[in-house]
Amino acid sequence: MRLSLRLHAVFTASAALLLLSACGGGGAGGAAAAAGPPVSGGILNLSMSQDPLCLDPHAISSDVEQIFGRIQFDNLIYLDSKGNPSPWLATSWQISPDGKTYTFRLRKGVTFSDGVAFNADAVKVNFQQMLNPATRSPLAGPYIAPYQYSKVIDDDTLEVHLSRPYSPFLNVLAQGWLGMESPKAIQQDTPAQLCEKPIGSGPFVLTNYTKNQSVTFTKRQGYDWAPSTFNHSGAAYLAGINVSWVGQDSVRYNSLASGQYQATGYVPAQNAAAVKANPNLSFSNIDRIGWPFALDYNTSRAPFNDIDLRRAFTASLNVPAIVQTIGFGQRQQATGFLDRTTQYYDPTAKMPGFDRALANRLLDQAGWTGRDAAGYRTKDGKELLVEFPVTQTATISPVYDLVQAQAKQAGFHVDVKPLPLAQMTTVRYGGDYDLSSGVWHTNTPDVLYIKYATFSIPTPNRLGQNAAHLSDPQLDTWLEQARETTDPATLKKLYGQAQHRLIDLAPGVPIYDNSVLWAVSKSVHGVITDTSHGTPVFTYAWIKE
Amino acid sequence: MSALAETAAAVPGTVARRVTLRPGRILAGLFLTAIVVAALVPALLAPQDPLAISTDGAFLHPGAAHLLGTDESGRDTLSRMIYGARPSLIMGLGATAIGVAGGTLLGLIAGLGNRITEGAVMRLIDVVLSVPELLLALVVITLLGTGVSNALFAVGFAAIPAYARIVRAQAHIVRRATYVEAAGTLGIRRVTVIWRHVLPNAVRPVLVLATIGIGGAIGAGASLSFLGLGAKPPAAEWGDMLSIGMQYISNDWLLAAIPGAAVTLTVLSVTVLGRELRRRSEGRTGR
Amino acid sequence: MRTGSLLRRIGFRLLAGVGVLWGAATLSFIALHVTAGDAALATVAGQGANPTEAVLRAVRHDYGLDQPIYVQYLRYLGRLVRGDLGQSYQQRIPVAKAIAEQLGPTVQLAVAAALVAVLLAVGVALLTARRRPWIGSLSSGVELVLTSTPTFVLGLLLLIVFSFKTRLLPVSGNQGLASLILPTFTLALPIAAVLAQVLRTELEEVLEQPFIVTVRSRGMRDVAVRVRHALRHSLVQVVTMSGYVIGSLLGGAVITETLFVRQGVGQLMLNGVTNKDIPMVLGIVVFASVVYVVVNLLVDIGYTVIDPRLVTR
Repeated sequence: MRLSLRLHAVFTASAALLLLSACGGGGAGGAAAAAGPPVSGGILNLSMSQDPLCLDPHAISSDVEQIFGRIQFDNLIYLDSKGNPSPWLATSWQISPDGKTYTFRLRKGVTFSDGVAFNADAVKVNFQQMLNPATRSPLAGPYIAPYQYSKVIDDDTLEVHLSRPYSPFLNVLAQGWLGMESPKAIQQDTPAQLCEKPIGSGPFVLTNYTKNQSVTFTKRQGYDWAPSTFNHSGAAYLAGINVSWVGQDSVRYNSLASGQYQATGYVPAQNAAAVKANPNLSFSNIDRIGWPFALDYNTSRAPFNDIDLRRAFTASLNVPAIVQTIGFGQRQQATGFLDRTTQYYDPTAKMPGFDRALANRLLDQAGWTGRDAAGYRTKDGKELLVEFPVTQTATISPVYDLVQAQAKQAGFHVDVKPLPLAQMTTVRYGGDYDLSSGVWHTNTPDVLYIKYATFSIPTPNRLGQNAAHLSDPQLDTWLEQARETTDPATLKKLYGQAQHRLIDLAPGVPIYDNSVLWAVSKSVHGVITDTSHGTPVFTYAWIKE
Repeated sequence: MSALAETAAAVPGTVARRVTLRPGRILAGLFLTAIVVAALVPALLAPQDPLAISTDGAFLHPGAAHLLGTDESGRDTLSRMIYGARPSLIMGLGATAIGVAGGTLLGLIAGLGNRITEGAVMRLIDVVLSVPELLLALVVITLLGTGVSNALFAVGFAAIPAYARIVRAQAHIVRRATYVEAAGTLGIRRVTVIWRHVLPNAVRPVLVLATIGIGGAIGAGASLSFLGLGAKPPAAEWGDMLSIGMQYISNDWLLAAIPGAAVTLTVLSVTVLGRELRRRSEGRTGR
Repeated sequence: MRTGSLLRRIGFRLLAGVGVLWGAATLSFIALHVTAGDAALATVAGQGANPTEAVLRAVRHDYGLDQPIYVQYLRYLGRLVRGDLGQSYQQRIPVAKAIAEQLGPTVQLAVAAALVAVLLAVGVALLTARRRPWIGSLSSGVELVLTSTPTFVLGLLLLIVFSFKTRLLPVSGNQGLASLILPTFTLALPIAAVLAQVLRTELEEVLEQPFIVTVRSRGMRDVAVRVRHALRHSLVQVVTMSGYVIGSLLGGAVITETLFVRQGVGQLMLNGVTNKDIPMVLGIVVFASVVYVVVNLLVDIGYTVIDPRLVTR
């Protein structure tokens, strides 16, 4: 039962301070005292990496929604500092003994920015929209897949029925992608219109959206329903937030350093040292809940259907060196298949380390004893080939080069193939690869079910995230059982067993814990760190030079 | 994409007379010789393996161990620059060969065919010419996928229409030349006439132009790699190196500057020598 | 008679233009439909997506991807005639709307770059034609370097010097004139160099003409001779290069917009290519053809009107 958001930079605050810790220097109390009382007004200029081209949180999977969700929308649930569900628009809830019925009591007096009241019916319409095929929801819908139907008891009470017990339900309800939208807009607008101008009940209102250029949010007058854990009420201090999309790392860093923006998401790791040295900027590096940046072995075909070859490949990689090189000292090496900040993370489930001798021994034993002209191992005249298709971008992460070069030392031929997104997706879901890489951020240890349950293997009918194609009945049982209980002791045991089992099965190589690198101008105060996503929340931020 | 610029500037006989000073030509010749040697036997010049990573030797400044420093994965920048010569020259020569071959074929068909054939070919060329070269290359890459060979084909394909126009114009001139008409009246077979007389005379000016086009093709290929559509990551390729170097420009600007200088100087040298060749072929001598 | 033949010429040109457009549409349609990759997947299954099969079926049906290819082609042509370029897979809005949204910044950049290029070229050519040899050599040397520098190298150089190092000009964005300066020069300088070369050669030939000698002998000053007489004759050459200029502007926009992180049609194109947004890529290619055809038509009509001798040629 611990959730320690590790803050590496300026502020190493206690959990209480964390909630209102100003990215703008020091803990909340100290900074607030130094900067004086909060000032109303002013526009925050924020640069982000990539426009999702649609701002309806239910219709996209872009991580932009982790920030925009808190700017424009409110959720039923907010996680407290320990990672447990706490009230937001839902003031209380009851779970039936069979774990299949949730009864929510809703907050009164909440309205959407189009004037429509928030009530039980609004929540029902939102759930239906997330699951409506026309919405094409890539994330919100699948996250509430066990949802069956809702019964409106009265204006402030909603009974939600699930098809099977699903204990992560409350957690996912706290994620940015599951923010509540105006039921009137959902019912009247087409999906395309909702993408352009979704309507929420949050502290800011979307007032202008020019694709690939900018998004403008304006303060919502009369907002008064922030999560109680913020220890603060009333409308926002900022008059508005202007967001610009700046895709190139170097340009994003330089425009921040030159003062064009007061905050940026995704500081390039290579510029972190310069940001830290900049007297006008505060830097924060916040670990995220979920599955770390890792490599997945495709366990459904040769060579990695053989566990010894998986172990050999893992042993051939000097992960600490890789993390040091690509992370510029900003990334923490992952220890296992859950990020450290995840509830029920078990530090004793540790991946074995770099051991080239072991890698060579395992490969020799498996019969890969020949060598071809390029120095790659062969067996019966066949090269030890590992196909590694990656998404093509103008600048490809050096991690692929490093993996390729290190695995070559043990005799693996890693063929890194950059593919356009469309082809990459086809390849990924068609299972036509030996290695794949990525992160999966969600706010619950149920991420292990998403990544490794047999149910999550991609099929022609369902595009699951089990890229390793791992299918282990024992693991499935534990992960299913975890979905059926809310008892912390049982969950700790089940997730602990699952993490150890994964180390034994070696379905991949965890590389580094996923973290968000943020930089905010020191003139910005009162920034809150989100408990689900580790991203900054600007609800009660304010600017004072 | 300066291949088209060169052809556009050169077609109507608007050739710049004074181009550079003599030392320029000598320097260009020397630089290009070095590039050709680097392309043929890179191991001879490169001090180290261009792909050898070193996780504790990233972003080293120029020094005795690494004359031009190291990149984000600790690879030797000088060695990568030297190994980058081969893909660039292959791109320049290969794409130009495709452009010239395709252009000559289409141009001869148009220039020597009947009115209908000529009309059809020229309309096709008009259609393709109405799309800018880079967009055309992007379409070809979308069709074939990314990678060095596809980028090479894309750049070559995009250059075909410009060459086709020139060959057609030349074919028209040659066809009406007295010696060709004479050959015709003497009863020599048409194919023989085309092969012996029309082709060489129509193609010679194109070949001269093509030497300049090689420079343009090198630049175009590097552009595609810069956009992430050409060479694969660990390979030493100038456009790719520049694109990656740009991400680390605040850490070490040399990583972007070196490949940028390499590609620019190569294109420049090719152009200088190409223009000299053109000047000589047109019977003019340097000042 | 003259008006008649002029109209006929314009009519013929229009027809040829329509033919070019039809050809461009057909070729790009064929080309992009052969590409591998499932567009429906790409639409919903970006990074971190988890869509169900029902969602995928809905997408394929919406975009007619489940129809035979010739039906898709005919539908495409039909819509094209009505000015409808189709629906973008990725952005879920009409392609024409997407282009319209992104067009402003690109037009701004292209017009600014064209102006700068022409002004620079004319200025440099006027100042350097038939001057002392070293002036000509120097300016053609600079021009040579500029035409040989790939756009992305030139842009990067300008970025480093004026933005990253000295912070004189903003790095990115579409806001304000200041953010337009670097992209404009990146796009304009190579074009200016090519135009200047052509223009100077032309000017030098004109300046050797007998009528110039006559004008000079009447005591007209050098500046006046250059601007009033020589320039007019040589500008025709610039006009004939409009096709090259448009091509360079549109092609260069892809790289310039990427480098400077500017909004615009070039970015839209690159995004479309990487995401296999078929209607988007087709739409932009057809749009580029339209621009090319229209500008060439205007130029053609323009100098047919100015110089009627061309009609009879």
